[in-house]
Amino acid sequence: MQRRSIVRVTAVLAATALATAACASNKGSSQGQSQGQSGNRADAAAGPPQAGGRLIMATEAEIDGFDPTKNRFDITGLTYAETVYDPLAAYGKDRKVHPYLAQSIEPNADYTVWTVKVRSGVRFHNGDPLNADAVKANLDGHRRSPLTSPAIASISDVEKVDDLTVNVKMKEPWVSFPSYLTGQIGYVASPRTLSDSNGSRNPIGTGPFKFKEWVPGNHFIAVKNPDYWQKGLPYLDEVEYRPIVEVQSRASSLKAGTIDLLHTTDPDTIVDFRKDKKVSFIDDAKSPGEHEESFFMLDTAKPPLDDVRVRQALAYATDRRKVVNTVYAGILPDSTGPFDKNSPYFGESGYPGYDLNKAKDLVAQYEKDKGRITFELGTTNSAKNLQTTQFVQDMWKQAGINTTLKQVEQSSFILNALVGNYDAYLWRQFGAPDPDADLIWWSSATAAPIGQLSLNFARNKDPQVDAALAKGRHSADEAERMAAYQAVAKRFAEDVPYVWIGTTVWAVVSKPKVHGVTTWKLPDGADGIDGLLSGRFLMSHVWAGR
Amino acid sequence: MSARFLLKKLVQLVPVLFAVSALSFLLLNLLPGDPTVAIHGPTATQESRTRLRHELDLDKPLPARYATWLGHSVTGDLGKSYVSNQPTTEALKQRLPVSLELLLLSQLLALAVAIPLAILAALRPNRLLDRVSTGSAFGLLAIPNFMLGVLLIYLFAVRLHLFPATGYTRFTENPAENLRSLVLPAVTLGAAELAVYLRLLRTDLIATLQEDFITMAKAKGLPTWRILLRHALRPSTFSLVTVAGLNLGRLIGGAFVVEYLFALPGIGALTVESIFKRDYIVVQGTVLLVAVAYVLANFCVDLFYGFLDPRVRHARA
Repeated sequence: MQRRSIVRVTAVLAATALATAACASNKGSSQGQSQGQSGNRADAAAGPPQAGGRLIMATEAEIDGFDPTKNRFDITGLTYAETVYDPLAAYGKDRKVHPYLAQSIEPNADYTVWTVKVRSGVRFHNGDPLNADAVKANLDGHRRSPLTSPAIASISDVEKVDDLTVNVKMKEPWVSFPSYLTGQIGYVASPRTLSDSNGSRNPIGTGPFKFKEWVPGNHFIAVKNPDYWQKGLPYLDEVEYRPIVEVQSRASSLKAGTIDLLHTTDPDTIVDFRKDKKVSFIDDAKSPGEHEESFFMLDTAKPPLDDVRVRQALAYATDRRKVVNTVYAGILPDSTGPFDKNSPYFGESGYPGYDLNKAKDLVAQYEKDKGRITFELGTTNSAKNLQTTQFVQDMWKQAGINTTLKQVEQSSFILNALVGNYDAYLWRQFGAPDPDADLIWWSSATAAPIGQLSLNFARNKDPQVDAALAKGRHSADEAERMAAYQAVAKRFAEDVPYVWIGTTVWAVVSKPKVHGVTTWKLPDGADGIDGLLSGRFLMSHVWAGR
Repeated sequence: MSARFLLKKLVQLVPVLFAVSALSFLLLNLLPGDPTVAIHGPTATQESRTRLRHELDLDKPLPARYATWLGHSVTGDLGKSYVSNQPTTEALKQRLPVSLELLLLSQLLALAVAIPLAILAALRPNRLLDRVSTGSAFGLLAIPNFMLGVLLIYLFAVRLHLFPATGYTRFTENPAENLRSLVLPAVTLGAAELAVYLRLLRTDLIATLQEDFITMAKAKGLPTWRILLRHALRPSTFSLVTVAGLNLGRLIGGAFVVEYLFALPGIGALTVESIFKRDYIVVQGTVLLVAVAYVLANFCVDLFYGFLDPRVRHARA
């Protein structure tokens, strides 16, 4: 039986969750396909949307609970939450943040105060009006939350201006703040949900669907909100989400007609369905949204990995394409930095390509100075991750770098990374749509000595990275921001705190009758993001053909 | 059945349950990992982690936590999930019917096929039917249940669309769908049991059929079916009943896999989910439930011996 890591420990720090766990796992496959190939087939001549019907979607895991300030929303969590809640903002096809539940989100001149005004006349499912108090209750809840507060630590105060408006005051200019409102932090739950100790199991929002029933481990059902503020939406009368953790069972369920749609990151499932003409298939291999990267994270604070020559040698010794082709069925684009090739922040970083001789040279140089290189190589106890790690371990061995492999249980894995009790870990992270949300993972300010909690897991203190991250946060000039993040990627390429492997691809597969997964409009008339945003889409715009 | 016999068995239950709960509590707490990471994620500060550990009583010594838990659980309060805040008893109530139904169906299925087949095979040992059924039984034993499950899903759900591939419909919602959703899991889980029961009963029956009292019955001219069902079957089911009781542990283990494979919201699935989330309280509840079920099932088996053979009831040993 294959098993993916069930607890994908995620940190919900931005618009999307960042899975800090290593790659999802499944059985390996040895066929390769051309890199980044996408096989999207959906909505060809579907006609006008039809109202009515009910769909069952299978998810790879389950939400812990529906309180945005207390429960961790990974991609699955966001998918569940998006039924009952609306985010204040959403990404458009232009990759800009558009107001969603908010009427407007405007900064002051120096981006130290953001004024968020919500739409008037919107009501929660229990009839309470959506107002400034509700928005303030949510944001204040996040500021108190041990889970979400680190991401918005730059907020100094949330102040009610009038019945529909709040001012969010910042400690520093914060240009990309609205991108945080497109995810967990942007959902507006009823203040009753937040204050009720059982609120996380009986959510009240303004969303397109009303909460009906949740039997953990079995199903979550939400029914159409007839008074939804976006007229004509949602199309469906009812949606049901079922967690089916086992990837093969999930795929079989679609083929057997037990469910109507599913999402997955399993390479073998993706390869299988890409060829299957009986289903609609959408993946985000070419979507401009940011993707999570898989990589080996190095603890740069301790020898031998504190020496840049060793880290560079690891990069030169890693044949990324071979790993991706062998372990991930060839469907993951191999990555050379924190941003994938479709990202606007991507630039040629000069990250080392596979070159065994260069790796051997660097190893020889190091060994002459400091002796043999040995360290521990860690991964979680999932089959796929073990496969990847063993494969890479062997590549490194060919360059003369000896490692001992250690499998660590998931929550210990994360704790070890936090306190620096590791050398090199296979990791998956950095999928925030705006790289500003990755600041807390990369900044020197969050790098603590070994033994203390350090969100900068690699403990990589780099003044050039800090300067670029600050520019990215403070500058309103898009070109300047892009240059800043490209500079970050460049520094990572030279300094190699991370040995990159591949980019995570999400796919949504459905029966042909399911439409509207990627074709939707934002309330202001703009087109929604083209494709999936790290596996996310809006169920309110999905409809079922007859 | 004497009240004394019952009472003696019941009293024996208490220390067993106590030992099981204490050991499982200890074992769970030896597991690596930290629930605060699972609940608050990596970004939480040391202070909020410490606060959470305090709220969850994780900063108290193990015996004190066990004592608190034991005190509450005696009154029926098994605590609340760290992660979802759901009371454990509520979660167990939601999940138990699924697992019970699955176990019951798989056992019934296994026995319903095994008993008649064993009788027929014992009647003419080493003939065609006996050989075929023995061979198939070995085959079924050799296939691991996750493999059989995948095969059944492929054949009966994906290809033939006869049964749903995954999922569970509640009996109260739709009894027919409920049965349909459990056919494949029950077959998957029951297949290996079927093989064991078949082999066991066949061997015992063959032995019984060579006893003097059977020869006697034959000499009296009783019809074969009557000899088999009235005289031979009952004394031959001793090992079968024993194994069926002991098998419950194995079945529950198998149910963990089967529930995962078929996405059934049973006790097994709950335990696996909770272990991965380091949700100790819920795991403790499920372990206790399974232990109690196991002990009670074997208690019932003991009672059943008394029914099968009156000598057990009167034995003073």
